[in-house]
Amino acid sequence: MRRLRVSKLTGYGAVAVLGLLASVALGAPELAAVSAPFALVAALGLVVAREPAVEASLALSADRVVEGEQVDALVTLRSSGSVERLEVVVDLPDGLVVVDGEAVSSLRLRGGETRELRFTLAARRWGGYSLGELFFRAADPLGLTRWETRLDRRTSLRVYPRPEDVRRLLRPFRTQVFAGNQVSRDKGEGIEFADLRPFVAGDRIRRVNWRASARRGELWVNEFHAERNSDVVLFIDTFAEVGESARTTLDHAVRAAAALADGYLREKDRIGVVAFGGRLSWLLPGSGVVQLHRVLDTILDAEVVVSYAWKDVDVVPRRMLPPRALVIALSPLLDERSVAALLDLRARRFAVAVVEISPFAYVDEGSGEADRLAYRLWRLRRDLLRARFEAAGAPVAVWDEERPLALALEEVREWRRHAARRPV
Amino acid sequence: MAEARRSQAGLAAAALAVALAVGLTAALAARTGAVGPFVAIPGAVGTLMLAISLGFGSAVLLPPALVLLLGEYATFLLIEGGDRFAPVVAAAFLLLAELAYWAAEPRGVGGARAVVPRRVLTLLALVAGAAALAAFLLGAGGLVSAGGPAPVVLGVAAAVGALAVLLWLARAESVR
Repeated sequence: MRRLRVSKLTGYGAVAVLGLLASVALGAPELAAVSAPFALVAALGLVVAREPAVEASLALSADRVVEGEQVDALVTLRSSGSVERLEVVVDLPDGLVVVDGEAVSSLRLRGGETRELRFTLAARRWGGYSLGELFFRAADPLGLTRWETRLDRRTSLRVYPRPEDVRRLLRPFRTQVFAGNQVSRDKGEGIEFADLRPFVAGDRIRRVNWRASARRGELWVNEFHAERNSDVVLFIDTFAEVGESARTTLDHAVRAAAALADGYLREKDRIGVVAFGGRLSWLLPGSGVVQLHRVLDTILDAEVVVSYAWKDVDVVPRRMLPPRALVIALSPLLDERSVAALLDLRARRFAVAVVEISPFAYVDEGSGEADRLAYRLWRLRRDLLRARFEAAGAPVAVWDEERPLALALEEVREWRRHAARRPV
Repeated sequence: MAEARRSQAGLAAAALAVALAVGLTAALAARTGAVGPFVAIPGAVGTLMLAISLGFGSAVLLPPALVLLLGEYATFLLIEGGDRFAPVVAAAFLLLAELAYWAAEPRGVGGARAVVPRRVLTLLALVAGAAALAAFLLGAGGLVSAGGPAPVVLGVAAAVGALAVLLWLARAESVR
């Protein structure tokens, strides 16, 4: 523990010494009587002061929670010697708030005594947190000496984003070769009827369509659409964000990504993630429950890192973008680099759908005429940008806090339905 | 640990300390009659320094403030020649100093109320002990006031001894 000098000792020593000397000089015993207690307190304080030996631990009731959920924390304190006044502060990262109990406390700890501090934390924002830095300040009974120390008892807490409500997922136009829940355009083993064809040697009898065969006088069999999986790549734009606290465009993008990943993995599709920004991170496409945790861990690490370096889609590993994959971009479309990368992907014949996380709610129109004009121009430029995407065959759906994500996805689906002639 | 605002207990201690300093200064000045304003000068300056120090939540000016208040009492004794209320003054002076240093402490965190009652009890015990010690010393001083150089030598030895003990303890603490 770091020992701190307290000026009280100086003050008391000065009063004691000057008082006693003045008492002798003036021949006034009253001065000695007034200053002697100061000398006694100072001496007593120094004699009884002992450096505290505090042990502490921190335990959480869960190491993974969903945004908005609560987790109980328990700080256990133990001291070999008595500590008259001990102040404990548990340093909490932004995003975690105490909703019950106190993360700071003052107490007296007897020698050998074990005390427990309990408090409940609420996860206000998704992210990977490390908490458990404990700060201690102790004082001797007479307040002449103080000690401070910091104990590192950090433990990790993963806060997963609150899932958005998604009922129907976007589908790529072409499926992959592995079994899944999506009805493929290709024919094969499945349950969705596709077509009829004449019987050939090797066809199973159970596939014979007896009604069609009776009508045509020869054996005809049913053909079915195969059920395949698809590859979906979630493209999270981390070049820029706007917003405040836990309501930024990146927050919405992460929540949407978590919901989409969960939905696609339930459908046995393969999901990959690219966080494209100042710092590039990615997760190769995969499927299953383990992949869901990998995806969540990857998107929890997503953060906006300011960078002025130009990046294009070539920096993304090739394996990250399998052929026929559907790329769903979650972006506020604020940075030219992410816009260029998405248009580049579309030019490379990837199916791209853009969910534009609307920044309008966070941008003030301004009060002056010039401000309003600039705002209108900015909005017009964004409309133009959307038109560029749509001309390239990439639908853009605007999503903000006011609307459910499902609605934005439905808009994309509608666009693709009506633009079926376009090669998406 | 970050220094924070003072607690309610700290604010109350600051108010009490300043009130005690004002009271002590005024009482000593009132008891000296016509030269009261002259006696009150060091006390008033000390009280002002105390108030400024506590106003800024710092203990830097407290030692000179206490010394100035002690100087007022020394002036009072020089004029009056003695004080039968010295134990009361000793108790009040120690209480003032303790409250002032309490107020200058950084804010106690969390449930500071849990340690306040015990601290108040310690403070009351200290004040009572100070009054008792002062009364004892005055009694002992009366016994040895027979005259001659012996009391002076004893007093100087006590002062130097106290200083030596404090320095030795402080040095031992810094080495530990």
